Amino acid sequence: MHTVVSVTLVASYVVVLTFVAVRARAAREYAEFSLARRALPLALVFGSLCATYVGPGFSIGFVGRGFQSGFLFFGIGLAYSLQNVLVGVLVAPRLRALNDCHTLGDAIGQKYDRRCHVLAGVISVGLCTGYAAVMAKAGGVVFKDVFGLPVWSGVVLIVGITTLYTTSGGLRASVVTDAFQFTAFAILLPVVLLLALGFHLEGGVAGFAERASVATQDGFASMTPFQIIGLVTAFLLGETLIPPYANRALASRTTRVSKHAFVLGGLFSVVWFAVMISLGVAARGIVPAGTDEDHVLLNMVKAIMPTEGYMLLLVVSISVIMSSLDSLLNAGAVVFTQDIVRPIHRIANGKALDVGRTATVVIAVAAAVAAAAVPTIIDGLLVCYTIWAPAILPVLVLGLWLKKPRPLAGILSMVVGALVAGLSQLAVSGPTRVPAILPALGAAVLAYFIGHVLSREKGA
Amino acid sequence: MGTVLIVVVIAAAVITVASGVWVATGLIAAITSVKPRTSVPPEAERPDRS
Repeated sequence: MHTVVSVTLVASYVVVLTFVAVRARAAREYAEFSLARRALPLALVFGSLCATYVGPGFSIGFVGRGFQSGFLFFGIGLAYSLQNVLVGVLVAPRLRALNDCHTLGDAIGQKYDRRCHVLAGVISVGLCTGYAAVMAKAGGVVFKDVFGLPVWSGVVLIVGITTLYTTSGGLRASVVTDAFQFTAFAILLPVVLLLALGFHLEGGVAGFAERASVATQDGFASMTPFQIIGLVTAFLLGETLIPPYANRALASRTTRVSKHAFVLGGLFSVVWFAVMISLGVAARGIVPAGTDEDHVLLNMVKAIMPTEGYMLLLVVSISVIMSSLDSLLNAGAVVFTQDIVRPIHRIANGKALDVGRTATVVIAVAAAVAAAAVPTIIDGLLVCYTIWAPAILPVLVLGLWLKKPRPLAGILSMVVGALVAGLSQLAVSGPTRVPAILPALGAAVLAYFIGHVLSREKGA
Repeated sequence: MGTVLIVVVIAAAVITVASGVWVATGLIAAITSVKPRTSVPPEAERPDRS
């Protein structure tokens, strides 16, 4: 009986997801594939944005961190919320107002030159592939935990299905399926929390508060202030306008929709982090101490829910992962087409659509292969954050602010930022890894100003 | 203190669910309003309006 209900649940989810993906329709033109004709309404942009950032890191990972360090990561996560609100108020409407702009690389190309455009594209595609590898690894972990399948087979399954609908439908399919997946996990995970609080709260309300307090104190004791500053910086800057977010800002129906979607997305992250961290704290009374942080949520649900509930969680976990993965695959493909191929070869829109579809598949395969090298989910994300912020943000922000941005400054900053961040990750291991973002950011800004001064002197 | 924490956590859970419901209504509106594509005639067959 349990098996029948479980199979029915999973089958129903697959049927509805397929229906939604089919209704999104195959993209016939590049403008549909890359920016969904710039016609997305607020609810869809908001849902898709939230579904993209609520990947395994902000769900499975945050529950694990709540389990280990209580509300410490809630405070750190607020830096991410602030970033989203600031992007919504200051950057997203300006980005949406740009004409003929499909990606951040386009914006950088307009401000600097073609070489900067292509370099920004190379970094963006690399980062999208890295983020996608983290999502693929998370998919493998979920399938291993639930079905006992080898991680690689879960990776192949989840990447294969996501690639199928993303290749066909482009951004619109990604956004519409994201909205469906957001609905699934935004309703089901809080229900798990309410069930845990209502029926499995050892020691009642006071016990929950006590566990939260002890875990948070443990969290603070396990980190140096420097590490906390590094983490706050990583959450504040590490995902700022990564390609899938920039795509959503650009694909909004109006500048107003773009602004409101990011501001609401930032506010939603506050309540989402509260729910995830609370799940982790509640798990301290349910799951044995010492449980690996990526397995806390799955083990907790296994302990408190019937088989059907566990299957529902599988559905939710897959939704969380696929909604982030599809956005990254689409964004990576659009960036490859727009920022690497188009600045070098003039190609018509029809050909660009073919290139975009092929790039989706290639990035998906690369991500599936790279998934084997991903450490834990949160650590994998932090590696990506540490490279993205130094490599792109100084160039983008200074380019928007300076009257005459110099291409040499842009190139130096991107190369130095990416190299210092990458080398710091390799050279420094263990708990000191996260703050690598700080020297890398400093080096990128310094390289920018050196390049700026050198170019100005040459020009003078 | 514990009661305040639990109330805040439950409120967060309720807001999260409400957000999911709002996006679901937007999604339903979006997928039910999709109109069938009209086939566009080749350029040579389009009437000359000049």
